[in-house]
Formats: sequence, structure tokens, C-alpha cells
Amino acid sequence: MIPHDEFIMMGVGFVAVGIALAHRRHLARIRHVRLLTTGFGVLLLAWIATGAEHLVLPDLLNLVEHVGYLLGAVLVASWCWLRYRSAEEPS
Amino acid sequence: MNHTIAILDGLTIACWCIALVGLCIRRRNDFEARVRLILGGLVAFSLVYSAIVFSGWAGLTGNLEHFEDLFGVTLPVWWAFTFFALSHQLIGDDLRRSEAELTHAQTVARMASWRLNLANDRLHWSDAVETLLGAGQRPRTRADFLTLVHPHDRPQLEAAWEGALRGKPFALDYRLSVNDQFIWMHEIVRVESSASEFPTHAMGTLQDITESRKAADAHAILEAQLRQSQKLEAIGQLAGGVAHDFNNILTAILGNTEICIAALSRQGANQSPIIDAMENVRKSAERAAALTRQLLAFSRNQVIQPQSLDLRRVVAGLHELLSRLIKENITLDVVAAPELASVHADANQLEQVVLNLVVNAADAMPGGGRLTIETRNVELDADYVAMHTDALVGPHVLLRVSDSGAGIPADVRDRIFDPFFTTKPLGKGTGLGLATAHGIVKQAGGHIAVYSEIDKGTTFKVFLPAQAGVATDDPRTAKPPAERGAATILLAEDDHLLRKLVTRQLTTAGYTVLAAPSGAEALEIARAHDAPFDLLITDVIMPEMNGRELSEQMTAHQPGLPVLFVSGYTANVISDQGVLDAGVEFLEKPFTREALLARVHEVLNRNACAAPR
Repeated sequence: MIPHDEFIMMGVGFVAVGIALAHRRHLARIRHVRLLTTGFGVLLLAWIATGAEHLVLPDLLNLVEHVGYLLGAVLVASWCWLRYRSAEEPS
Repeated sequence: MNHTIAILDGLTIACWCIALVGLCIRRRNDFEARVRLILGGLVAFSLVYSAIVFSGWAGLTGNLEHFEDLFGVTLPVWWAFTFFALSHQLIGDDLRRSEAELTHAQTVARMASWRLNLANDRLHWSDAVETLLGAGQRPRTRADFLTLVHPHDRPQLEAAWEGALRGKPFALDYRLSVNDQFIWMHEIVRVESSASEFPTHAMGTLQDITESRKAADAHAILEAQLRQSQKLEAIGQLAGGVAHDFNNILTAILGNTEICIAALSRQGANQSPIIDAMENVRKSAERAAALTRQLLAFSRNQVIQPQSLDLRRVVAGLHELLSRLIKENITLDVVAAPELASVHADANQLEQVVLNLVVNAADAMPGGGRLTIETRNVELDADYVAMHTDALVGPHVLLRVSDSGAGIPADVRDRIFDPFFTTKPLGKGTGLGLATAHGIVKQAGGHIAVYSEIDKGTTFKVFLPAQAGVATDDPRTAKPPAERGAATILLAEDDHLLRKLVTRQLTTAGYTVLAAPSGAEALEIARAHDAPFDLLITDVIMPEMNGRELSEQMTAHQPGLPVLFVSGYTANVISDQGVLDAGVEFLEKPFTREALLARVHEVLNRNACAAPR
């Protein structure tokens, strides 16, 4: 049984995906946007894993969840680094 | 397993913190308030989550899985929203930076862009417009803008605008009043229409092209000068070629006429109409010879003997002649600089230049006026040279001839140095005076310029390169009288009539002449001749072997043999750009019997003095 708070958070995550898709042209203007979207995709995968761990393979999916958090954090931190470094360069 | 999870979460927190710290440091000054609030909340949230993870990992707390998962799920969502908000702000920043860069680029390019709402006639300008039109100048309507356009250009702009409203974009140059002066603008305009093809708005750019217009004007002037120069060069080459044959013919006419006149005189027919007719032939031939000389001078093919000259002396020497040439109702002023550099030029040619310019000036004042001849030192700078392709930077001596006459119209000014171009009535001028002056000045390495205003007068400025050192005295002295001689002369002349004539002129003066129609035959005669020759007279331009080649072979055969070159056009065989090579004896065609005998006598005498005793 998936806890209801995790359902809610997954729902919030999908709403965020919907908002991002609705603004995809707008977001496409962000430099190195692939890093950012991939990072967010990995986080979304982690939320799905944390909900699914209550149904099957609890240990493995728990690990996937936390690895997903870490990967998402690394990707977003990388985007942050690259984005601000290129912001300093004359365009 | 829990330890692994805790380490992963710890690394996750570390990554977020690095990103957060980086953001806070780099963008601390320009985060919007809402972004700052989100970041602050996120920091607090991340710290709580770290404490929970750390306490669970350290065994300080027991059953915290529920809270840990809750935070673990919530935290990335917070981060996602934070970055979405940040990205939104960054796009705004990019837009503002692009706008700033566009304004900067337009300012540098001295241009502005505009958009006109055709419904309410409102103009919207880019920020660079004030750099272009001046501070506070931002026309609000098209009508306001049109008041700035030069009145002469307004109809053209209006016509183009009407075309644009019918769907024809235009690009137009016109003058605009900016800070009380007119500057040149280049405008590009396009009108946008609605789906029903009704014009809704117009957009365009305006660029200050004053500097490029000036450069284009200067370029056009230089191009015109180059075209003129090339045209004169081509005519000069043609004239030089014609002069060569024409001088041979004239020499034969003059020489034979002299012989006829002399023969008739000996027969006591001094009053014979034949003598009058022959005199007329001689005078006509002399006029033709003078014309040919002018053509050669114009084409810079005249053989000259330049020397250091004081231009003041040249002008002073002509003063009496000039006073006689000009009418009494013209006042002649000569303004000579107290100190004047010398110039390297041919005295005869300089006199010709002064005479031609003065005659031209006098003709421009039929009702009288003032004619000024001025000489002074000037320095031509790079700016002047940039505008006059044939001028050189450096010190020059200026000869200025000004008149207060009718002036030269602009359309005539471009052609005044063309040969045979004249505005004088038929028979009053050959159209060679200014062309000759131009050619002479160019041959002397100088530059001639003209400035004229209608009804005010004309000024010709002749710039000759100044030379260091003192001017030498005029070496032109009277030729020694022709005498009878007894020397043996080898003559090489390819023109049959001329060869016959020169032979006759020399033999009647007592010389022994062996004549050859070519260089090769002259060499054969020299080899076959037992005794040495006293003089070689050779034409310069001959087929197969020219005069210089013949003289070199002859002097190799007989060292010390004096050589007299005769020619109407040397084609630089014995001269460099018309300047006679050092040590070369030369007689210009056409020549009279007296001139020939005087020159032969002079060369023979000089050689006799120089010969070792």
C-alpha cells in the first residue's frame, strides 16, 4: 500500500512536469537546459521508485530512489555551475 | 543498507548545498524577492532533512523512516520549483542583456530602429535614437519626424513612403536636421499588413551615413582623377607615336624648302613668287613643328635637360614678353617670395608653362582685369595628397597664376587639360596650351590644380618638388655659328628622304658623309672604311637596331667616336622619362640646316678639346 503523502508528492511532481511541458518553448531558451530537464526527470524517477517500493522489491527500489535523488542533485548542481559560468562570458 | 542510503542522501544534500552556495554567491545582488524567499526556505528545509538523516544514521533516533521519506520526496519538489523560478528570472535577465547589447550595437553603428503604429501614428524608437538625433530628440509621430527631413529630400521620401504603403519596402538616403546641421541618413522601411492586407504598422532603421558619404564623394573624385589621368596617358602615347613620323616628314619639308629658297636666291630670283610660296611652306612647316613639340610636351615625351632653377628668375625673364602679350586693360602683378627653393626642371619648358597659363588667363579677361603670378614655398601634406592622386607629400615650390576673369564652368573644368579641347572661337586657340602645361608639370614630377568660380576668376596652381641646393644659372647660350667643316661623318637614318637631305646639307658644308639606311649597314660601312670616322650621326628609332645599339657597337669598334643622336621621339631609348641620359648629344627633329651644322660643329669641337693631345 502506497502512503498517501507519497501519492500527493508524486502528483505534485507530475504537475511540475505538466507546467514545464506547457512552458517548454520558454524553458528551451535556458542555456544547457538538457542538464536541468534530465536532472528533473531523474528526480521524477526517484519519486516513482519510492512509491513503488511499497509494492515490489522494497530494498532495490529504495536504493533507486536515493540514487535518483543524488543523480538529480548532481545534474542540477552541474547545470547551476555551467549556467553561471557561461553567464559571465560575453555573449 | 541504511548506511548506504544515508551516505547517498548525505551526498545529495552536499550537491544541493554546493549549487545553493554557488547561486547565492554569484547572484546575491539580483535575485528577486520571491526567489530569495524560496531559497531561504529551501536552506532551512535542507538543514532539517540533513539533521534527520544524520540522527537516523548515527542511531540517535529510532523510527524516523516515515519523516525521512516525507522530506526526501518533498525536498526535490522544492528544488524543482526553485529552479523553475530561477530559470524564469534568468530568461528575463537574458532579454534585458540582449536589449542592452542591441542598444550598444546601434549606438556604435550610429543607427536606431523604429516602429510606427499606423492606426494612431505613434512612433516608438529604440533607445539609441537619442545618440543619433540628439538628447531629448524622439519624434512622437511621423509628421514630427518629417519636419526634420531636408526640404529638398522630403518629396522623394514621401514618394517612397507611398510605395511602402502599397507593399514596396524601400531603402533611401536623405538629409536630416540634427543639432542645426544636416547629416546624411540611410533609411530602410517595411510596412506590415494584417491578414486582410490592410497596413497596420511600419518598421524601419535609420543610420547616419555622413562619414561614408564623404568617403564615397572623395572616392568618386579620385576615380575621376584616375580616369582623366589614364585618358591623358593614352592620348599621350598616341601623340608620341604620331610625332615620330611627323617630325621626319617635317624635317624633310623644312630642309628641302631651305634648299629651294637658297637655290632660287643664288639664281637672283629674290622677288620670285616661287620664293614667297616656298617661304609660306617653310612657315607652315615651322608651325606644324611647333604643334608637334607641344604634343610631345603634353605627352611627356619631349626630350628635356632639367637643371636646378629659380622659378623667380624664369618669371622675371618672361616679364617683358608677358607685358607685351597681355592687353593694356589687364594689370599684371608678380609676387615673388623673398626666399624660394630651387626646382629641377627644364628652363624652356617652365617658360612654356608660364606663358601658356598667362595667355589662358589673359584670354579669360577680354574686358580687362587683374592677373597675378605668385611664387612661394609650400608644403603638401598627406591630406592634400589623399585628395590628389598625382601629388606627392613634401616641400614644393608653388607657381600660382590667378585671373579675375569669367571663371570656368564645372562641366568644362574636367576637360581643360584634354588636348585640342578649347572654348575659344575657331582659329583662336589650338586647345594645346593647358594640355602642354599639364604634361610639362607632370614630366617635372609636379602637380597642377585648378580652382575657379564663375564671374570671380580662376587660379592655376603648379606645384613643383622643391630641391635642396642653389639654382644654377641658365645654361642656354647662343649656339656657335655654323662653319664649314672637313670631317668624315657616318650617317644612319632609315627615312630615305631625310637621309638624302641630311647628306646634302652636310656635304654642301664641306663634310664627307657616308650614309646608311640601317644600323647593320652602318656597321658594314664602318668595317669596310679604312680611316676612322670623326662623327656618327644616327636616328634614334630605327627598325632592327636602334641608335643606341648602333652607337654602342660603333664605339666598341672605334673608341672615343662622338655620336650625335637625332630624333623627333626618343621613346626613352636615350632618355629616362624624357630626361636625356648623361653625356648624350642630341638634336631634336625637325631641324634646320643651320641647327644641324651648329650642332655638328659643337660636338666635333667638344670632342677635339676633350681628345688627348
